[in-house]
Amino acid sequence: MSDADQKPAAETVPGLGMTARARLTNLTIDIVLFVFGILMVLPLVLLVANAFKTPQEMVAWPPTIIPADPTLDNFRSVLGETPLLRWIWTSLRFAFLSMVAIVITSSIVGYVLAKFQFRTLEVIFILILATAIVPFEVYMIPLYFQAQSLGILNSIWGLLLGYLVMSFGIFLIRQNVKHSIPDELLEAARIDGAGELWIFARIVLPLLRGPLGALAVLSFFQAWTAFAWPIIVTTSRDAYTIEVGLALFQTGFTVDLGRLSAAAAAVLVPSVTIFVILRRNFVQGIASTGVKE
Amino acid sequence: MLRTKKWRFAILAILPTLAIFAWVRMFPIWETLRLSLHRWDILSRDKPFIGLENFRELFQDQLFLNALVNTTIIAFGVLFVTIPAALVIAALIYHRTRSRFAGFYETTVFIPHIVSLVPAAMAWKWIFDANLGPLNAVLEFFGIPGQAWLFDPVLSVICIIILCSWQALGYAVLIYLVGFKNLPHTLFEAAKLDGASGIQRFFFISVPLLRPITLYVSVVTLISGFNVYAQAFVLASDSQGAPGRLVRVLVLDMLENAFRNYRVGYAASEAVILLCIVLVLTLVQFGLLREKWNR
Amino acid sequence: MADVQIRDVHKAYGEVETIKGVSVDAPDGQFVVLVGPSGCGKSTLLRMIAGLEEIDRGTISIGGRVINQVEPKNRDIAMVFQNYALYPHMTVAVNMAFSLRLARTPKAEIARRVAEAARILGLTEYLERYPKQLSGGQRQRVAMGRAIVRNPQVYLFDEPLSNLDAKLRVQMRAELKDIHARLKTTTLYVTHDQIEAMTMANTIVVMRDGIIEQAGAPLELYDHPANTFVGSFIGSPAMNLIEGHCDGQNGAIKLDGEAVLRHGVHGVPAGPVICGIRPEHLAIVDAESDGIDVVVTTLEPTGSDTLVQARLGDQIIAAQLRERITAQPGDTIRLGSAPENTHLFDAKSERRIAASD
Repeated sequence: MSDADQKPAAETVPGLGMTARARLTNLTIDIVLFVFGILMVLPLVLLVANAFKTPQEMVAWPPTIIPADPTLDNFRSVLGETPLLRWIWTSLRFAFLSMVAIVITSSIVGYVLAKFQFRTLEVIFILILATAIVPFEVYMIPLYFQAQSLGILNSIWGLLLGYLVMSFGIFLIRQNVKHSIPDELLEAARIDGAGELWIFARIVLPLLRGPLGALAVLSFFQAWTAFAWPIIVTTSRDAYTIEVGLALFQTGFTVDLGRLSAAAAAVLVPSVTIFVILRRNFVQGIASTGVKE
Repeated sequence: MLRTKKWRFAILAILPTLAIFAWVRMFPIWETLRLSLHRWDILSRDKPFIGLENFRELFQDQLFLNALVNTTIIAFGVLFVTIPAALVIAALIYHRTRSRFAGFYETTVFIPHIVSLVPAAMAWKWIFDANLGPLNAVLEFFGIPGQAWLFDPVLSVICIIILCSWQALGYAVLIYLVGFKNLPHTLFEAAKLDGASGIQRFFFISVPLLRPITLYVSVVTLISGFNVYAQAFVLASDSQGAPGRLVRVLVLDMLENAFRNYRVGYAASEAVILLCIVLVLTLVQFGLLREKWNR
Repeated sequence: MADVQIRDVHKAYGEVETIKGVSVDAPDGQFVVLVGPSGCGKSTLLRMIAGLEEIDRGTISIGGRVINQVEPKNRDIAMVFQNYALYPHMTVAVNMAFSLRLARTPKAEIARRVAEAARILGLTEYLERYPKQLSGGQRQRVAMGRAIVRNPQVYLFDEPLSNLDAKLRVQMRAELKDIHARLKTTTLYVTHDQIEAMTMANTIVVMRDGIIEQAGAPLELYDHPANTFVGSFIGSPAMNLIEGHCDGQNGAIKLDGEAVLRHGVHGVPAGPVICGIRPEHLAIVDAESDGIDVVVTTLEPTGSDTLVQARLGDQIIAAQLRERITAQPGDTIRLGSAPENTHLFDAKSERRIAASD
């Protein structure tokens, strides 16, 4: 949804111009929102700033946003003490594989559930709908024992076990197929002689680029920020994801703030950057969670 | 012929995913329900069926009750902070949709929602830190004595609520913005002509019309509040430094029972209670929505 | 080139039977229009010919071959949909070439056929555009082109013009007619618009509630509607249907026992009848002639005609008069029609009663 085609509530009478009062109100609102926005990201900004500070500057008051004497010592010592890069690499692979699995399963099932009218499929849809409201935390203990019996604890496959499918992804694709792909398009293709798989690959998928992109971004970040499942599936330090690694690293008494901040910043900066770049996809994906049938 | 072919394709296409779904979703859910009625301590071989014994014990378990109370306070605390704040912020951003900073406002409010929980919680842990944290420094500047935020059971619950609200706000604002954009825009113009001020339009038009969205966001916020874990894990270490022990939450208690005390059946029954809470919240949501439609 | 034969076809969705035994003959090269109100089963019938719906009972054959069990792509048909169903992510040329590519037609042959179709439809300049860059009429032509390139034995059209505005619809109607005249391919065309049916068809099939009410040449349906439904469905403004009574003795049709609408009717049993008179067949007559006295409620002079709405008891009568009249709303005028233009229907079955004069 673009901002341009939505008229905001204010300033809708063209030609009348804005009164001085309205302009003042807008300015006030802008200032409020601006300050609020800064405050929202301030904790993160300070954290990143701390990562580059020397121990002396860290305790200085008021805290500086741009370090006076930036240093990479914190990063150096974190990298020496922890397999931080390895954790990040594990998280990246985990998130990527989970994204691939979720995009594939959601697109196929979402399409079939949207466009094929069979009683059995309705039952399947209701089943998926019913299990969708069960939070992951409720069933992760039995899932852990499944992973254990497969011997995939402490491995990427064990992590993946909990993140192979996403009910919301199925709903998202189903909704989009229903709304944006008319039946006639598929029928025309069938008359034209296209097989079902061909229709899916060459007509449905190209038309779902937007929602698939949104789903990809969402599922990637879902796995990237996962915590409860990785912390029970991975028990050896080398197998941690970055979230688990950080969480356990920060409990150590001996670790000082500079190194903690450096480790956290190493994770935050790339993910915030990616978010700002992919903001549209995110917003589209998250916004559609609120659009109920 | 065509129908048979379509049927065959549909089933073949859906089968692999359905199998995965059954394997990693439906089966574990079923196992949770089943285990909750059994006593299973990982080490012992047999898992005797004990009916509702686990649940009876749970409601005499001080640790569990403590976790339940904490989690409930956190969930509702987050709700009461997030919803009003989100509604106001969304209204302001919507009002300034045409401003060149609209993207900036949306982004800054939303960033906390997407960043990884642990690094974000670490940032707040520093802010709340009794000795080094900026929060106490600011308080002392105004002559208010600093607090040991993260070492006091009550204050640390408040800290967790602040952290969770900070994260939940972006999502709520985003959903509200979608709601605002879907409101019939002529309504605001009509109200304007009727002489309603901006604040009156907010209270008499936006708030009532956005009620279904408020309901939805509230339930989502509450459910994620009941599943709080990482935030407590990072923020609330006890005096021995064991993470998350100071503020016991449901998921933490459940995992400790399962993996520290090896009482899997008992932990499963906690999971069932969590499930019941979520189900009740969802049913309340649907009930209220239906009531609204039937009026 | 082939004919299409539909023999006693039935179709039910669950308990609801939507097609209740339909037989249609579309001879080779004919333009057959299936017309009827929405929900009459006309689209379902077309989709059954296309192979998009199963046939429960009965047979459909194309060129003498029963195609009940044949896959859509092997039926040698092409279909044009109401919303055009153009692939939005493909250019006009690719859209048109799509089915040929799937059929592994040689590249040169595809290029030749696409160019030919584009020439016929005046789309040559638009071949590299995407559907969303085209106007409604151009999209409609692309949908046609996609059908033409296949050079099928039968064209199927499902309300192809109803997404266009009125002016464009008239223009495309003429173009379609012209293309059919050139290609001479058997065509089945579904519409709810009786004017489209009248102007384009060799044969019109009027359907209602899953059965065929009447099939025949357009003017035959206009002149001799088989029942009141066809009478009022074909022709615009719709036919007036007036309840009357046939006097068995002198063969007069009377209304309310008083006004005589028509004299000298023979072979019609005494009893209640329905008289059908088209608005354009009514004219003002003098007091001695047979006719009905009606009270004018509205007058709409269009220049060429005068459209009159008038009340007969509590019924509204519409008349399209050739002349300009001086009557005012509230005035009583007498309207009559020629005997051959007064259709008689049985009051109960609503079927046409063949009257000999």
